[in-house]
Parts: sequence; C-alpha cells; structure tokens
Amino acid sequence: MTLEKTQTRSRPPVAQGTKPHKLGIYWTLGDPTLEETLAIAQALVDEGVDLLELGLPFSDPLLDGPLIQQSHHRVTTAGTTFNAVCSCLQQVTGYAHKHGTEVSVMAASQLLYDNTRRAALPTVDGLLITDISSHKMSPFPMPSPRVYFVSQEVVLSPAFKGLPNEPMSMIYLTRVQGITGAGQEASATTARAVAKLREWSQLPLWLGFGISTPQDLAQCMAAGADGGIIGSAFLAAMLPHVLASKGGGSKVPWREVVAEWLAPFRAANTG
Amino acid sequence: MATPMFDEDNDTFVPPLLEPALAALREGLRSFLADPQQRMALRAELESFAGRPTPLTVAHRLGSTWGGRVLLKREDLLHSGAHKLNNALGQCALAKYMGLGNVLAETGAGQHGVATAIAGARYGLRVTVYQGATDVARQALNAQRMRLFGATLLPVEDGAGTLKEAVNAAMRAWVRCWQDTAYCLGSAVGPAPYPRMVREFQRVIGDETQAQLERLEIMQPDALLACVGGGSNASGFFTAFVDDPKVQLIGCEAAGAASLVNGQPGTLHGMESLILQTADRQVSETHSISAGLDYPAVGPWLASLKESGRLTPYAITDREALQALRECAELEGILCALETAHALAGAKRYLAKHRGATVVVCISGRGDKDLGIIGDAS
Repeated sequence: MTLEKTQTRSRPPVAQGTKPHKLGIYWTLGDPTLEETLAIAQALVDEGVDLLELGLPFSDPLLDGPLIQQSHHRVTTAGTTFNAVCSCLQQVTGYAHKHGTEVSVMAASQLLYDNTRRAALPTVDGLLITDISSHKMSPFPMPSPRVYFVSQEVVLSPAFKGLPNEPMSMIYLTRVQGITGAGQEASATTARAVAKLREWSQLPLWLGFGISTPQDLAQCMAAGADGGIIGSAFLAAMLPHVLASKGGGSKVPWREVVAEWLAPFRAANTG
Repeated sequence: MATPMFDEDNDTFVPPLLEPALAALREGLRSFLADPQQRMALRAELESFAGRPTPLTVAHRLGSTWGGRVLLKREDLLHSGAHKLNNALGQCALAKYMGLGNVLAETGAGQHGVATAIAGARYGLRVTVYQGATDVARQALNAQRMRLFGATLLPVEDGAGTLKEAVNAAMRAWVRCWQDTAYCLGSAVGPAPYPRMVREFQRVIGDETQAQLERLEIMQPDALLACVGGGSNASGFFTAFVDDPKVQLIGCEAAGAASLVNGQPGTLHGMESLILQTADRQVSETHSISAGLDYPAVGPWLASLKESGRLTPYAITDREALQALRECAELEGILCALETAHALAGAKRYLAKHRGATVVVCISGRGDKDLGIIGDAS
C-alpha cells in the first residue's frame, strides 16, 4: 500500500524500482498519557509511518520484553480506563485514516473477553489478540478483522495447515524466537517461513519482534515480507521524553523527536 | 455469550509463541504416560524417595472440639513437607524422559520451588526457580532450601512481586529456551496440558485416601476440604470422589484471593477460568497471609466444578486461618502450613453447621516455613 503524498505528510518519493520498506510502529495506548499518545501517533502519521500497532494497556503483558512491560505498567498504575483508551483510539484512528496510515490494535483476550467490551472498541483495520492459538478460529466474534499472529516455528513445523478461515487484515509473523526486545539476531529461517506462508495466503505479511534498525528492516524486505513493525527500539528512543513528561517536564516536541528517529529509516528507503 | 463451561483441556487461549513448546510437551507426556515402565518407576520414586503412601490420621481432639469426625490426609509428611513433590517428581521424570537437561519453575510460597529443586537434584537436572521478591522475603526458609538443593533462585521484582509475577517471568523465560528446558508448573493452572497433567500427578492423594477410608470402613465421608490457590492439592484430593455426589467437595480460599468465590470468567496465563479482576478487566492484585494462595485465578477444573455446583467454595480470612492453625497445633500436635490452615478453618466452619458429620481435610503441607509469620501475627 504505497500512500498518496498529501500536504501534511513528509514521506519522500521511493527510489525507482525498489519495493518501499513499509514501517509499522508499536505504542501502548495511554503512555505516558492519553493526550501524549495522540500527539505521538499524529507525529508518526505525519512522518509517513504506514501502520500503527496500538496496545491496549494490560496488568499482565505476558510476552513483552521489559521496556514494553513497563509501558503497560505506567498506564495501568495511572488508572487509565478502557473507555478513556477507546476515546483516544477513536481520535488516533480518525487522524491516521485521514492521512493514509493503517491502525491495528494489539490486546490480550482477557481485555476483550466480553461482548460489551468488544462492542465499545472502535473499529480499526485489524485486531491482534495476543493469546489465541494460531491454529484456532477466533473464539469470539471479532469487531475488526483478525491480525493473524503466528511464530516462525509454528509455520515451519510439518503440522502447519494454513490460516483459520475467517476475515483477516494481515499476517504478523514473529521474526525471532522469544519475546519482544530490540536487537535480537535475525533468524535464517525467516525467509523460509515467509515463503511457506505465501503458499497459503496473499495477505500483507509483516514481521515483528527484535527489529531495531534500518538494516533489520531491510532484512525483513529481503526475506520477502511487506513490512516490519518496531516496538521496543522506538520506545527506548522515546523513553527519556516519556519519563520527563511523566515527571511534569515541559511539553515534548514529538514531531521533531519522531522525525529525527525516523530519518535513518527514510534514508534507507530512498537509498 | 452463555456462561462458559471451563475445560482443563481447552487450548484456545495460548500465546502463539508458546505453541511449539506445548506441542512438544503434549507429545512427550502422551508417550510417557503410555509407557508402563515410566509409570512404575515414578510410583517407585514416590514410595521409596518421597515416602508414599502418606497416613490418614484421625484427629480425635479436633473432632470433639469442632463437633464431628475429622480425618487428616497427611501430605505434610511427604518428603519436602508438602504435596508439591508429587507433581514435581512427575514433571521432572517427564523432563528427563524427554531428554531435557534443564528445568525452570515458578513458585509462590516456595514449596513447589523446593520440590522442583529436590526432583532436579534427584534426576540430575539443572533447575532455575522464579519467585516474586515479596515471597522470597516472606518465605526465606524455602529460598535457602532451594539454593541448598542446587537450584538457582531468581527473584522477580515486577508488580507486587508475588505468584502471578513469577508465572509471567517463568513463561517469558521458557519461550526462549524450551528446546532444552522443561517448564515445571506447580499448580493446576496454565495452558493445556498443564492443568490436567498436574491433576493427574496429584490424584494419588485422593486415590490413597479412598482406599484408606475403606480400610477404616468409612465408605462415604460427608465432605472433603482442601485449600485452593491454583488448585493442585484440591484437584488431586477431589478427583477420586468427584463422581460420588454425596461427598461434598469444599475448596477453601484466602478471602483476599478468592477466585472461586469472587472471580469472573476470563483468561490468564494460557487458560480460560475464573479470574479476580477489576471492573476494567485488569487482573487484580490479591492479598493473603499465605503466599501459596496469593494468586488471582484458579484452575479450570475446579472452576467448572464450582460453576456446576459440584464444588462449594469458602472464603477464609487470615484470622480464621491462624486460629485453625493454632487449634490443630495445640489439639493434635500438628503444625500445618498457613495455606493448609484455610482448609482446617473450612472444616471447623462446616462442622458448626453439620454437627456429627465426617470430614476429611487435606493437610497439604507443614508449617515450619511459616513460623516467622505466625509469630508476628500473634
């Protein structure tokens, strides 16, 4: 999905003949506050990020590394409610869609276990429930198309029988074995897993976990993926601003901060 | 959605990153349980090493004080001082059978950590235990024992530093190392196949009790009582009796962590069960004077028994538990664990309403580890 240039976006033209590196960024909704989440999201959209992967804050984020765990902890201990998070998500999604950025939500099943919760969640492009077995259908009606979340080991095992038959927006394939965290080594099996998934599905295929640098993102593309999602590495770079903001410091110039962090990725995309 | 029936074999709510590890475990377990030599070897270990069968003790003075007949199933006399070793020996034997040289475990009060450390020493496996920092401090005796048995103990500082944080930490670690490491889970909770596997390894408690009652010519006790944290000793104790509706099954929880009484359907740690949660569906922080009951959920098998009315849950306060512990010590000369004391308090409460009834209480563990807390609380 190559985006049309609009006046507010600063995405530069893609070099002739190359496939654009699609970039997704993970952020925990409500970190450090709902207002700042909106500002960060707007900055990412304005700077041309293709996908926002937004986490619903949870008391027990099981498979996230320490940085993302702490982001959940900041938000839940601040007493941020689900309804307030939904309002923020509605605003973020509205802005993102106006400017051509996709929005997916990432949530533990516990948070969306009952009907009223699912009904209250704003409609987004994709919904990733972090604890549903990859060989199972979604156990409850999904308010947005499912993001198919699967690990490489599962895809490469002989027992893999393709995707469950239900509406899906994209595939999120874990890039490395393990939990989220910046700087994990690339797995040589990634390309095989991507290729095997392509035999089963034409959905957009994103890689996530352990992606930190433009080189990592380029490896994702080389492995045949459509894009890569960065979580901990972005959060690590934003963390000093997040903590300063929580400590009551002056307003963070998120657009500048985000643009500066994104610059190497942009350069790599046009090089 | 209609009220769900909780199912210990439900494998829907599992993070995909755990799927390969659980698939390997399921296959290993199937093969292990189908092998008569393995089952015999485990039974031999339970007898010659762990000290099974454990006695069924008639508690005459407690019975006459509380107004009924009281029998105590003595898992406190099992090697290591608690029922946890039944399951740890089973899962470590399985690990060795599967060719895994390492084991990791979570622990609340430390009894499961100690049991895993012991089983690891016995089978030659390297053991790492995750324990909440709060629990490491309040159960120092067990921390020392784990280290003496050769285990590495890793305190978990996150959150309140109790059992749910230890489970989170152990699962995160296992995702990275499952190819050469077994995860020895201490209760009837977690992703399938753990809930059923733990119940299977613990059912020896109830199977023995049934035979022992028959020898005493007690064909049908009125009620069985056990303390419930995640539900391992209760599941094991109740299984042999679950099909006899005349035997009431009573699960005794800490009032500040009573998932059977106050939990709502939800998902946690790979299972769909009753979860203590806030109105915003966050998992609650719990409180109990007993570290082993301080867990905001309960296994799906006990949850399903409660939902069908087969099991009656009691919420027991810290005060009631301490009182029952003291009475058992003074009237029978038995020092039980704080966790266990909740089951004794439940028996006292039951007999107050059912004079002359016959109850069997699972004494899930001994209380030496709790002397500091008992002393402070007096």
